[in-house]
Order: sequence, then structure tokens, then C-alpha cells
Amino acid sequence: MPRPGFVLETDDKTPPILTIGGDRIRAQRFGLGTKIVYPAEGEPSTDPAQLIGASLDAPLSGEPLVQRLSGCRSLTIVFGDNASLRPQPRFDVRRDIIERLLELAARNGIDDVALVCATGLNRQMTPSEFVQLVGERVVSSFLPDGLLRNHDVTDRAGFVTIGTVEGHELRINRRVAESDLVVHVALRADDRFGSLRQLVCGVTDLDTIDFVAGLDGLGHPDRAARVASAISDAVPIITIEAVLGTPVYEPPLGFINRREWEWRVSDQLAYVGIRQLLSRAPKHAASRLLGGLRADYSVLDVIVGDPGEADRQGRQVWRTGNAAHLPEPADVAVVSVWGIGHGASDVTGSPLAASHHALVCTGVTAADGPLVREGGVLVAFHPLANRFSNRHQSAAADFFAEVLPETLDPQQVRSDYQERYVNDAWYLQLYRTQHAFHPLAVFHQWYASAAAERHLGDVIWVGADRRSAAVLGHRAASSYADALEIASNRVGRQPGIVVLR
Amino acid sequence: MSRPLPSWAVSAPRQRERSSVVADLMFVARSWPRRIGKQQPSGVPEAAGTPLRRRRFAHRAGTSLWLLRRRLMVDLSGLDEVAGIEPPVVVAANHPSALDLPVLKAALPRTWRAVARDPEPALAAGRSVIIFPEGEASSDGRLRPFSDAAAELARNHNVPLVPVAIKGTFQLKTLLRLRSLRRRPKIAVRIARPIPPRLLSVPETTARLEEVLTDLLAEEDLTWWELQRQRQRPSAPETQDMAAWRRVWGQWEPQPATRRSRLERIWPDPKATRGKQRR
Repeated sequence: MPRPGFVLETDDKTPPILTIGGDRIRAQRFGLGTKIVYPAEGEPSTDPAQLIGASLDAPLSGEPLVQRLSGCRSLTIVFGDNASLRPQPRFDVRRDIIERLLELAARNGIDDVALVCATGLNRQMTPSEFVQLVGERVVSSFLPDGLLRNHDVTDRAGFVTIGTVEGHELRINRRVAESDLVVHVALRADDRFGSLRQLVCGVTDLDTIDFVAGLDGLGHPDRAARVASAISDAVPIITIEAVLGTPVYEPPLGFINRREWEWRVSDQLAYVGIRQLLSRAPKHAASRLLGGLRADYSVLDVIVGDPGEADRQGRQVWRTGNAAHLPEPADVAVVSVWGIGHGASDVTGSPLAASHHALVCTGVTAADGPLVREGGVLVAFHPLANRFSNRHQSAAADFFAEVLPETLDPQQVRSDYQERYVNDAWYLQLYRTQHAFHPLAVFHQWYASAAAERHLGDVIWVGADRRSAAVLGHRAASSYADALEIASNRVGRQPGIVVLR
Repeated sequence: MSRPLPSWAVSAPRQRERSSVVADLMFVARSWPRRIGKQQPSGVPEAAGTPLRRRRFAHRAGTSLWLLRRRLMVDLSGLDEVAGIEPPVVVAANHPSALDLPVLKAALPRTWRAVARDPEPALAAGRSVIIFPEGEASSDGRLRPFSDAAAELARNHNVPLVPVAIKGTFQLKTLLRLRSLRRRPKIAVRIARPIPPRLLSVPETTARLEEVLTDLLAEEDLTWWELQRQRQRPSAPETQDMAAWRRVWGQWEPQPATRRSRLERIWPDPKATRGKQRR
């Protein structure tokens, strides 16, 4: 059994705590009484074959999968992209699940099998990324015949209307809608984004994604569940959700896995070596070192059931396995932002991605258990360098340069810019042919960040580009102590501080 | 710009945080004195079970593979199937020629330290073992009946059984002699997912091994999914009833481009294009 997560209160014997901001790594000393939240200790993975087999035989409700497959003539396997899982897994358990499903399908004599990658607004996956995700044998079996493909939100002919939700016409991927059985294979690596959200925002059309995750959808968090329920009413669908544990990093970054007071001399030397390498190596080499990093995830459980049921159960398992309990929200939350780039060669990430990660993905302002109180301050470590990929993030670069200097108000952003960006021929061309993000993605990212920011009094970036921070409507500080000095206007001179390790 | 930014909010050229090696080492020495590590801070949950293990990583091929690739076109696939598998393991391979052992030794992960002699002491010493369950090299390229040696060994030592298929080494010595130094004969080494040693009985494990190796050899021509489907159909693959000369002839045939290699190739093969132009 791995050691569970816990909250450490620093005292005079606590060594410096590791913080990573973009491609900067440092051991930071925190003041006495600071609460450091450690996740459960990571565990090396084991062969998940038996866990998968047992779960397929005993779903949460309904018949075992083997029986569902008998009599089925067309099967579609839907799986998510690898955008949200950072660092990338050394081996992806979805591959084992999909291979097992295909073996069962072959045994039942199902000839019409297709695989759809539920990318939604994310960038479409390349063949080499497919190989990494589902394995070479599946890719070489299905990709040349066009039976393994990305979901394309711009393909008007590729959708079928299956019903209405709150008066909104619900349209989903044609192949998914017309299959005798759909199996959705998903991962859960955090508390917020599980299989249900991925299905709803992965295989539906642009209007439905905007309906669920757009500006209006933020005020109605139950919409995703309603849309998922409408999909499962119209299409026979089973969700297989694999719940992952804490990642275990590979050497030479193995010291990240260990708590600081347990660092051996080799860990301390590795820390110094990596720190020196990152500060002296060319930017791209440093980025590749951290961006190409892979980690090992143990599989805590594999849950099979209806989309809503599997998502609920998966969330519960994830919390039990990984979460640490914090008694009450603090005045200041401190987070490290790293590994959020758009691909393996980019580890730093854009200012918009950094802001979204710090405010939304870390869950510091989550409605059901925020880490920081209403009106508190978020301190984040990230350089906020104004760097976007011309190929993958063209729309985001223009959004940052053109929209945010004009207004930060989400309502105005939507009314003045969203329509134009979403119909821009150049962005759509990049999305279809160059594996770029869909232009609507950056708008949704901004709406979610702005909604989370309303909970906070201030957001302060340590070591960040001052202009980028100002464009985002945030503040920049040159050091952690300066950030607390700025925060004292909001939270006083003796704030309660919580650090997410 | 309609939203005024503060006057000090200007982009400065980004300076990377630099500190000297000596300063970093002194910081570490001061921050982690010897007493740290011997005592846990208060409130830390106790370890329950074994600590984090150090894992060996299997993705390192040695210089011998590099050397092999100077003379042969080696198509090595399936290394990701054994990523994270800790040695020792029992490697069970088909045996089309006498050159299989050096090819395998070069292709398998270096950390496995695979040997073919004295399997029992080698496994006990933590070294992996290569076993050819067919016993001796095949005379016509077809699989011979398998012995239970590999399955028994894996079971007795409770180590994973890794099936490996070799294709293209049949008559390789002759090929290397006949063909000029410029041409590199193609050989394929395919590694399959390990078979757990104690999940099935020894005969069942051997039968499973034979099935996996047959599939791996056929995967050169058919895709994995086509094989899965073919297995369900009543007619067996035609190679079972093929005349002996056709099998031997087939082993000598130049290997056609597989679906996978077509997939990997972005630009058309320049050699193929040149050939067409000449014709």
C-alpha cells in the first residue's frame, strides 16, 4: 500500500520544498506554519490484465460486456486524447483495455469495428501519437483503412441529431450514433475531468460543446450529466473508466517522487544537476528534457458501467486513492505550474494555458471544497513567457495579442470576438490539417479561468513576465517573498498559506 | 488598446535564473544536514508496506544492435510490450537458423543480460535466459513441435515468459554470402507481451506460447486485427497445408513492405522511384 496524502505544517526542521515553474526548478523555503499538501505516494504499475478482465465481467449494472457484444454487428470504441494527462504515461492502460475489447469483438465475429478519438476542441492526434496511445498493432490494423480516426467538429456531414436537452438540439458523431454498441474507454487522472465530461465534449458538435462548456454552461454544471444521459438514452453505450494513481517520475527526476526530508544524497545531487542543466542548456533542450518526461501510473481501479454511474464511482475511487484532506480554506494558495505545453517539445506552456491550469485544473477554487477562501490570493510559479506555437496555437496567440488587451469581460469577449474567431478560415484550416486547437478552445479556456478568478482577490505570478501578467489582469512578483508582500494588502500580514506540492 | 496596462508592465528580455554549481551545492548541504532523513516531521503518516522500488528500464539497445544494423535491415518491434518488465525473464523464440542467438542477443534490451547456456544458474543469478522451444533449427522455416522447457523454466523460477519471433534469418549465412555488401537483407524481430508463468498449466502455457509465436510470424503479412478475425473463421490459414517447397521458397522471398512500414513512410521510397524511372 502506498502512503496516503497528508498535510504537513512546516517547522524549523522542515527542509526547502520543491517548486517548479515552467522550466525553472528550485527548492523554496516557506515560512513557519505553512501547510504543504502532499498527494498520496506514487506506486509502480503492475499488469492490469486481471483487473480489466474482472471489471468487464462484473459491470456496475447490466450484463457483462461479453453478453452485450453477442448479437452486435457494429462496434465503435471511443477513447479520449492524451491532452489532459501530464506527464505522459509510460504505458497507457487504455491500450490494454482496447486490445481486450478487440479480442472479445473478434471472438464474437464482429466485422464492423471502428475507433473514434474523442478530441472535441483539442488538437487532432497524429499517427505517432495514436501509436503511443493505443499501440502499434491497433494502429496498423485500423488506421490505413480509415477505421481509426479523430472526431472532427467542423465536419457538418459527420453528425446526427439524437434529441434535445433544454431545447438545445443534441448532435453527435454519426459513427457513434449509428453503432449497435459504443464502448467509451476513458482515464481519470484528476478530480474534475472524468469520463462523462470527455464524452460530452468529445464526440458532440460545436454547438453542443459550447452549450455545455461555454459561457452559459459554466453556470449550469449539471448540463454535462443531462447531455450524457440523453446520449445514453439514444445510443447503447458502456463506459470503461480506468482510475489512475499518483505518477511516479522516471530518473533523473526521481527525486520529485520523494518527500524532501527523505531525499538521499543522490537525490540532492540530481536536484543540483537538473537545476544547473535547465539553467545552462539551450531553451529547446531544457524544454525537451522536462517535456519528453514520462511517468508511470498505477491503475487503482477499472470501472465499467453507464456513463453517469462510472463517472461518479470513478471520482470516488480517485478521491479515496489520491486526495489529502485540508481542514479549512486558507488565505493564500501557492501552486507550481509546469508540464502544460501543447506537446512533448513544449513544457513551459503559454500564458493562457498557465492561467487556466493554475486557476481551474489545480482546483484551488473548486466549488465543492476550495483551497483558498473567497477573496483570498493565488500565488503561482510560472514565467508567463509570451510564446505560442504558430502551428498549434495560432488562435490563442491572436486572442492574447488582440482580445485581452481590449477587454477581460467574458460577456464582451463572447459578443465581440467569438463568432469571428470560430468562423475564421485560417484557424479552421490549421485545425483540420495541422493538428491545431480549434479556435473555440481558447475562448472556453478563458471563460473558465475568468469564472474561477471571481472567487479570488488577486492572482500573483512569481518570476513572470510583467506585461503578460498585466494582460491577463494579474500581478507579477520577482520572488515569493515579494508576492506575499503584495498579497498582504488583501490578506493581512499573518495569512494562512497552503502550498500544493 | 482600450484597457490601460500599468506603466511598469513591460516585457523585459527573459533572463534565466542562474546560480553557480558551488552555490547550489552549498545550499543543499546547508538545507539537508545529516539529521534530516533520520527523523520524520510530525503528522506524517507511516509507510505501510514496501518502499518505492527502483525499476530498471528496458528500452536500451546496445552497440551490438547498432553494429548489426550496419549489415542487416533490422525491423525490431514490440519493445514497448516489455517496457518496465524487470529481469530476469525467459525469452522463448522460434529457431529458423543458427544465427538467431547473436541476433537475439543484440536485439533484446541490454539490461536483461540474456544468455543461452546454463539456464538454471543464470536465472538464479538474475540473468535472463534465451530458450528455443523447438530444440533445433528449422529445416524449412516452419515451426517445429514445441517442448515444455521454456514454460517449465518460467514456472519454476516464477519469471515472465517473453515470446519473440524472428523472421528472415533462415539461410541468412547464404544470403549474406551471395548478396553484395551494399544490399542489406531484412530481418524482423517481434517481441510479444509476456505470458504470466503461473496463470496456466505448463502444457497450456506452451500451447499459448506456440499460438503467440504463430501470430507474431503471421503479423508480418496480416495485421493483428485481421489475425484476430481469421482465428474465428473455420478455415485455417493456408500455410498449414502448403507444399514444403512453397514454404521454403517463401522464406527466400524478399520481404514486401508491411502495412506498418507503409504507414511510417511519409515520402515515397527514393530507391523504388529511381527503379521505376530506369525501367
